[in-house]
Amino acid sequence: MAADLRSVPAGAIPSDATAPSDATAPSDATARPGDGGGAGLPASALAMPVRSVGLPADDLDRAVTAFMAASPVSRRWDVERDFDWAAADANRLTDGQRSAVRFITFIEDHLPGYFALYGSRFPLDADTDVETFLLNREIYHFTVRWAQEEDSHARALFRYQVESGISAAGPLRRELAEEGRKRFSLPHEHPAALFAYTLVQEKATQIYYQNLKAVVGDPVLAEVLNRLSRDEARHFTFMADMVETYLHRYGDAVVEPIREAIAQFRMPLADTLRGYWRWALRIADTAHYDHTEAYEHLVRVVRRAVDAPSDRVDELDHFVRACRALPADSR
Amino acid sequence: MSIDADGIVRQITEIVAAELGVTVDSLVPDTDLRGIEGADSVRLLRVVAKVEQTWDVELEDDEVFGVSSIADLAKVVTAALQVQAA
Repeated sequence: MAADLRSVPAGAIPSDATAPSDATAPSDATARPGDGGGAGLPASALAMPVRSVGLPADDLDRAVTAFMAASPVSRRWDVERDFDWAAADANRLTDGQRSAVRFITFIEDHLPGYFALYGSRFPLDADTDVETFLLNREIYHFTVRWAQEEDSHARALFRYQVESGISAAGPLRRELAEEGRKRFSLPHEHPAALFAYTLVQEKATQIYYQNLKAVVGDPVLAEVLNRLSRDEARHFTFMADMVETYLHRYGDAVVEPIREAIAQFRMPLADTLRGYWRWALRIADTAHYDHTEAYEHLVRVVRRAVDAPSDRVDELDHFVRACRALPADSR
Repeated sequence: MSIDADGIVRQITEIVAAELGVTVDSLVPDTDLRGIEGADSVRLLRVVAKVEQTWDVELEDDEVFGVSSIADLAKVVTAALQVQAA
């Protein structure tokens, strides 16, 4: 079947809840995202060019600037100096915790795939018209910094595995390469859905790292997880800013793609990593982790962005509440 | 070894009800698992994990991701048990 268990069912939301194409944009909507002023045009007149981030450059600049301001050089960390690697000891971990470290290393190390996806979705090349390039260039300021931070996560986890005795560098490098070379893709056509997906992903990862940190017995790993979760929190904030900006600009018309991002949500590598789902369930239990907690954060962002929640927003809320109402860890 | 197909359907129904927080009476063999309110992919995979644990079988990923109803799940479990018994 097309929509299999890897993707979440629409469930509570009727399939005819698709946003009409003539939904009205906010009154300050601009005719061309690259320009600054408002013209009050309907959203249909603001059709998003294919492969464009589709938001005004000024809005993008504001979100990127906020992210950069929250990431001053003085607060950055690096793999080489900020951890007591000599003290790393995997003997202080349970089998489940060691397995969790291996799992999250695969996830973080797949960065080239994630980065390539953003590059192909928001291209910056000679085939891109100036208007689209101008907008995509703004988002690239974030993407490249985000990638640098995520790459540090991959390196920190690699180093932890080696220094703590979980794995030797050579076999680990090869193991990661075998998975890392596999193509990463997402089904989301609408850029708002892509950012909503990433919002959930960043929040889910942040929560998972915090939960795992709370139970691991090795302080070196706890510090690594602490650094990673703080980065993921900043990434989440940026994604939340983006989702809010889409809602301000396009209104109700983007609620449906945002809902789809939840309905189809699955963690990265669900399609590529062999035995992924059993492993994912085990490591979730290791850290007492409930993935639906991240959904709720998305709904909060949506509610914050809309002045008067529509039926679509209420349906999104209802859907998430239905997911949340079930036992998190019902083994 | 004889396999009680009806018994498998009944037990899977009970597992689905328990894992997804619905009543057994609200489920039939053809119930679309993805249509149960709040049943996202992770929760459905927890159902499959519980089923595997109950019958001590390991289902193929293609089978796991191919099922959409209790009856489908019962079929793949039955097939796995037959292979095991052979």
